[in-house]
Amino acid sequence: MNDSAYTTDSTAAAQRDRDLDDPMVTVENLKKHFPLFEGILQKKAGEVRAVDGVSFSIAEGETFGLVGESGSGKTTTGRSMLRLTEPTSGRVEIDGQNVVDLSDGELKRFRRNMQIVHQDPSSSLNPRHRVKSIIEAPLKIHDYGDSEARLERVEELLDMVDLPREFMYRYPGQLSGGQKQRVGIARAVALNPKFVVLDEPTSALDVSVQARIINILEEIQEEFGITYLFITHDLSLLKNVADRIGVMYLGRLVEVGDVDSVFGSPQHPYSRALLSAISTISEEDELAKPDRITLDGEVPDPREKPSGCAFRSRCAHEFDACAVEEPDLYERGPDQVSRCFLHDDRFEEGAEWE
Amino acid sequence: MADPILEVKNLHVHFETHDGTAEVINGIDFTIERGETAALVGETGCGKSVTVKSIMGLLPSATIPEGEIRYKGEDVLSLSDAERHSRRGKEMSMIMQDPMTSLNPVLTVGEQMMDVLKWQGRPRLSLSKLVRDALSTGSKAEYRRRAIEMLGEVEISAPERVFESYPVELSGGMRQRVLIAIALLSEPDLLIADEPGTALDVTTEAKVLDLLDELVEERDTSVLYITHDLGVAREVSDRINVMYAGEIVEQAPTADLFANPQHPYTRGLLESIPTLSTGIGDGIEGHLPDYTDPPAGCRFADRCPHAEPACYDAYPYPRQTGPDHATACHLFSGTPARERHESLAAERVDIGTAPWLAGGDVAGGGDAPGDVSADGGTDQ
Repeated sequence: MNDSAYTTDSTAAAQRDRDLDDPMVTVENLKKHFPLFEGILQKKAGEVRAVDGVSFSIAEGETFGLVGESGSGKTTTGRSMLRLTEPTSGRVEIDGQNVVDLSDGELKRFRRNMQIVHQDPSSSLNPRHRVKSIIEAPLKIHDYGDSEARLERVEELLDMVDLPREFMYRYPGQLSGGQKQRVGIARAVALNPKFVVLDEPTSALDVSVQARIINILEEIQEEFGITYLFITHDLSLLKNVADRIGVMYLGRLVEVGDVDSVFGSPQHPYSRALLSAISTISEEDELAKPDRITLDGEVPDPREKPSGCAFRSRCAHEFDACAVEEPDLYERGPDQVSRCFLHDDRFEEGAEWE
Repeated sequence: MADPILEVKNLHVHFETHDGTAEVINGIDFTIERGETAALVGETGCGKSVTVKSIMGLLPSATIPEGEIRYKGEDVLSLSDAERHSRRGKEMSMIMQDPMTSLNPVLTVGEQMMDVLKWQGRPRLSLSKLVRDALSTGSKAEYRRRAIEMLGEVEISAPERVFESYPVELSGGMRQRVLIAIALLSEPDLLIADEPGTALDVTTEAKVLDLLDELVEERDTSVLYITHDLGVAREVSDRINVMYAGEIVEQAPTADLFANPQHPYTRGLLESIPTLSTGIGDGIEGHLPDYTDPPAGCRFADRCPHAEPACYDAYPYPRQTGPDHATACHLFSGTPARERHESLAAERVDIGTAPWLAGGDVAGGGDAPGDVSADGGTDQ
C-alpha cells in the first residue's frame, strides 16, 4: 500500500498524519469517462471526462468531505468508488481490497462493506415496499440470520436512527422527508459496513431536519467506527461534519486538506471563491470567510474543458503557463495541497497568497 | 409609517381537501414599505408560497374567508379578475423558484420577453389590440430593443444571441437571469422573488443575488423575498417575517432578529443552521401539524422545548416585545401587535419567561397582564 495518497501527483507527497499511513479507503487516479455518441450510426464523437484522475485517502472512522458545484464530478466519484458505475481506470482500495479488480460475484459479497445513502430519499425508497422490507433487503441478500434475527436487527436499526418501531409497517409515502432519509440510513448501515458514501444526504431536507440527520449520522459513526465519504455542495455543513475535505472542479481535485486548514486559509482560487459565496447568519461567520470573490462566467461545458488548468476561464489570476499545462498539487501545509501555479516560486504573484 | 406599498392584514387562506378544510394560512399580517426588501422565511410547507400566490391572485382553488391584501392602499381581494390581471405583471411581478421549469420551452427567450411588453396590463384578449399589433412594426422593434437592453442589464454577455435562444440552450444561471429580466421588464413597483437562488450553485447564486440587489436598488423596487434560508434572508432583506405552519411567529428588522431572536422556532431554526464558527445544533424534533386539524393554541407547541399544557389551548397572538419586534409566543408579554387581539390579552397565559433570558428584561418578566400602556406599537 502506498504511504501517501498523492503518489500519482509528482510534486506533492504531503506529509500525512499517523492514521493516513494505513487508510481505510484509498483512491488512486480514479477516472470515469462517459463516451459521447453522434449521428444515426452512433459513432463515438468524444467523451466527457466526469472524473479525471482523482486521488485521496480516508483514515478509518473519519469523514472525508467532497465538495463542488453541479457537474464537478463529486457524485460520479462516489458512485465509481462503489462501482455503481464502472470506473474507466484507477484504483479504489477499501479495507485493503482493490474494489476495481473484483469479479461480479466477489463484488456482490464485498458490498456488505460499502454502502451508499442517496440524495433524494423520496426516489431512493421503493414506494410499494414497507419500511421493514426495505431495511431487510440487504440483510436477506447477505444471508443475515433467520427472519427472527432479521426482525430484531430491523428493530435495532430503527432505534439507531430514532424512528418508532411501529414505522416498520408503514410505506415510504406515509413518512416525511426526514423520516424517509432515516430509513435510507438504516438500510445503508444494516450490515455494519466499513465505508459509507453519503451523497448529499440532507440537501433535500429542511435545516431543522438536516441537523437531526447529521447528529444521527455522527452517532452511528462514533459507535461503529464507520468511514464516511460525505458529498455535498454545502460548505458550511462540511465544516461541521468532515475531518478532511477535497474541493472538486470539473473532474479534478483542486484542493485537499484537513478541514481547519482549508477553511482557515483556503489556497486555491476556486476554494476561496466557494468559501466567499457562503451565506452566513452571524457577524462572526462573516469575518471567518474570505471577502466576496465573484467568478467570471459559469462552469465551462465539460465536453470542452479549457486546456491546462480547467479553472483558468474563471480565474482572476492567469499566467501563461495556465493554458499550457495543468498545475500539480503543491504542498501548502502539513495536510493541505492545492493545484495552482500561484504557489509556484517561478511566478511572482504567488507572493500575495502567503 | 405612511403609505406602505403592500399591507397584508389578518389573511386566512383555506383549501378544500378530501380530509376537510385545510386552514393553511391562519391570520397573518405584514407590511412592506416602499423601497424596502422584506423576507418571508420558513421551511417546507409553512405557507410561504401560498401567501405570495394569494397576493398575486394565482390561487384559483383557494378560499380566502377573511383578510385584506392592500396594494398601494387598494384592497386587491375586492377587485375583479380583469382588474387584478391588469395589475399583475405590470404593477407587481414575480420571479419563480425554478428556472428550469418556469420558462416555456417551445418559445424563444425573445418571444417570452416580448409577450410581457405586449400584454402587460391589458385584458387577456382584445381584437383591436391584435390588429394594431399586426399593423404596427414600429412597436415591435421598440419591444425588441427594450428586451435586449434588459438582458444586457442582467449582465448577459451576448443579449442578442440569448434573445433568439430557446431556454434549453441556456444554463441554470442564465435562465434565472432571463427570469429576472422578464420580471423587471415591466418596471414593477413590487417584485416577489420566490427562492430565486435555490436551484443554483452557490457561486452562481451569490452572483444572481448581488445582481438582483443592485437592480432593485437602482429602480427603488419594493421586494418580497421568499426563502427557506435565513442566511440568504440576512444578506438581502431589511425586515424578516418568520413563518411557521401558516402563521408569522416573529417579525423584526433583519439585524434585530439575528441579534435577539425570540420565538423558540426562530431560535431552533438558527441553531440548526450549520455555521463556520459555532457548529451545528440538534435540529427541531417532530413535524408540522395537520392543517386540516390544527391545534387551537400554538401551532408550534408540539415541537417546542418550552411548551406548557396551556400553550396547546391559548392562541399565542403576536405581541410587541420591542419597539419594532413582534413575537407570537406565550413566553413573552407585551401589548398585542394587532388590535383584534386586545381581548385575548386580558387572559394572559403565564408559562414564565424565556429561559434564555436570565434577567427577563426584554420580555418584561412575568409582569401583570396590564402593561398594555407601553409604547403601544399597534401601528403595524
